[in-house]
Amino acid sequence: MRWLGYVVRRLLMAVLVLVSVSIVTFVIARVIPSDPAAAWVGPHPTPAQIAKAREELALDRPLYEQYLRYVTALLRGDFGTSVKSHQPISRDLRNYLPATMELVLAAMLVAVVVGVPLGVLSGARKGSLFDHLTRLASVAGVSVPTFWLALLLQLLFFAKLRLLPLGSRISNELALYNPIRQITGMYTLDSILTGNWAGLRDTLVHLILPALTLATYPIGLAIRMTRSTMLEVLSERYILAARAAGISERAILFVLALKNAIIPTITVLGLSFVYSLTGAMLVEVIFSWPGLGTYLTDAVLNIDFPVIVTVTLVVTVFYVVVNLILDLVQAALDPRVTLR
Amino acid sequence: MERPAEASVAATPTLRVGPQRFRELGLMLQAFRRDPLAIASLVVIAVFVFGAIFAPVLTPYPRQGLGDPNILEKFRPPSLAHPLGTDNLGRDVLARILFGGRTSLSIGFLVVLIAVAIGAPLGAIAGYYGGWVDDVVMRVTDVFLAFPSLLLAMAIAGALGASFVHAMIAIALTWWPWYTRLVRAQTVSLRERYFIEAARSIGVRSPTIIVRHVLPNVFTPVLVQATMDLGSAILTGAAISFIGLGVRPPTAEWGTMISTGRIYFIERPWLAGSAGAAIFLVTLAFNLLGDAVRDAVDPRTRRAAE
Repeated sequence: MRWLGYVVRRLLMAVLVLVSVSIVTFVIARVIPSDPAAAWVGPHPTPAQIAKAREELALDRPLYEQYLRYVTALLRGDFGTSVKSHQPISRDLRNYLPATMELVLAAMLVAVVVGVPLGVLSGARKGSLFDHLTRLASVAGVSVPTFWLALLLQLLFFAKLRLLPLGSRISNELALYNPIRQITGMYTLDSILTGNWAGLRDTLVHLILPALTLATYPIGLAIRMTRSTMLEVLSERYILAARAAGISERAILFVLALKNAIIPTITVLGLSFVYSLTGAMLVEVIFSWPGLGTYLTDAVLNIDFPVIVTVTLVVTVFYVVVNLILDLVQAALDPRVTLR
Repeated sequence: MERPAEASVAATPTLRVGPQRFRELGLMLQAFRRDPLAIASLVVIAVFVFGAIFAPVLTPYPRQGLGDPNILEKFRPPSLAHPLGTDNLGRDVLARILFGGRTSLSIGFLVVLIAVAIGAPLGAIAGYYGGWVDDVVMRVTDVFLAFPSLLLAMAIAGALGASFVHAMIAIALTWWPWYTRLVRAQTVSLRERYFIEAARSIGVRSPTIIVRHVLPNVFTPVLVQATMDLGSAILTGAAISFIGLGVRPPTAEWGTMISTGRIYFIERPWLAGSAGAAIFLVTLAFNLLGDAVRDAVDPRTRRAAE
């Protein structure tokens, strides 16, 4: 019963935050610019364009009415028109969002596979050289400018070793001779679903560098979080009992201890999932990855204001929803949360 | 009736709290001296700050650092005359890095300063008064925290137009809620303490209590948080400029240098390479320093270190 109350409270709060978020983006789009109509149609507008935008945005109406129109349009999925592509932004989003999702999910996978074991070992050998090096690496992971690391990786793996492609999602030859039929828009998934193994291989090869770059931050987080919870868990009595019973050290670390140490790490990784959505903005630019980030930075260069505001809004909605899910999952796993 | 009481008593509790505060800073410094990584970080930061302040004296090419092109010498690889090579306009990259430090470091410092200036007083007010004031302030922070900071900063910078000042304002606007939360939590526990109750009981007005008794006592945690934030603030500033929403050319800035240099990166890696290394080193140093400061302040880890 208490859990239900918590869920309802948490849902209401999420709705409240979403409404406020829409107010903030409304203010950014319609109130801050000195001439919102001009900002909405892009650089070098004609007087006719401006007049039309004034009408569309209802700029002569009071603010609250403008806001209501803005929100009803959003709820219908109408985000306006891109200044550059002259396409409805909602259609552009359908193309770009899956690419970004694929990249971010791949990065999270790398973060778990690399970060968690390193954190476990680092916690188990506290104070050792390995521990110090891992800790330094994890701080380095959260300090490195990803857009710079991406360049270094390109230099090494593309220019020097000639192992991996420079950028983009698939090679031109594949797009020409063996195109991936789109179902979800995530190429790895689509190529598996359609049994296009050449496509899968090509997609993965293109995914490695961007995913690795994007993963540096969550890897650092995963290491730090796993290490600190491992330290706590390893000092508990059931671990001592397991040692006394002669269970192998590997089983103790990776099964008995990790089982309890992993929950906070998952929460942190969930949060860094949304953080990585913004991180992807920078990584995509370097790797010419056709996702939200490329879309957004192009919009910035072309002063495509409707797109800038929409991408901000969309990613923020993701942010709020993921936070909500995490809180609910945590409440389900740990009943103490609902007491707060 | 109220006025004279305030004037005569208000100073005393501050005096009593003062030494406590300095004792904490002293302990911090002690724990600090034993941490080689923290000292190394301080040295790195000092070198960059020194380089930024004395940039015009340190480089033989101060005009190029400020932005004057020197086309005849473009894309020279690193040499004795140009230790880090020259850029696409023939400017000495080391000079650009030194001058760029002025912009990038000041963005970081100013962002944190603005964020503290907005966030700390709001947090103290919310925590001290409680009730609906607290509710309103905290819900506002919830909204700002709901935005990914880089994105909100981009949208604001987009609305205001690209410039150094706008980028700073935009980042600071996404940063202040963290300080509000931190200071609020501290204030809530402080307001139950005897010296605040004493001040209140003799009729010191609330604004005075907040300014003279609450804010000075949250100084240490705010300082710790600020140190930990400086690295990410510099990194975010560089990211905003990299995208093209921050500092405009010809002003030197590290993020902008990477964005220019990336076009030539495969053949001429020294341009973006050195700017990125500068960002990385400074951010790493601030993050390590922040960790060290936190460990030094946290009594649990401090005991572990002793």
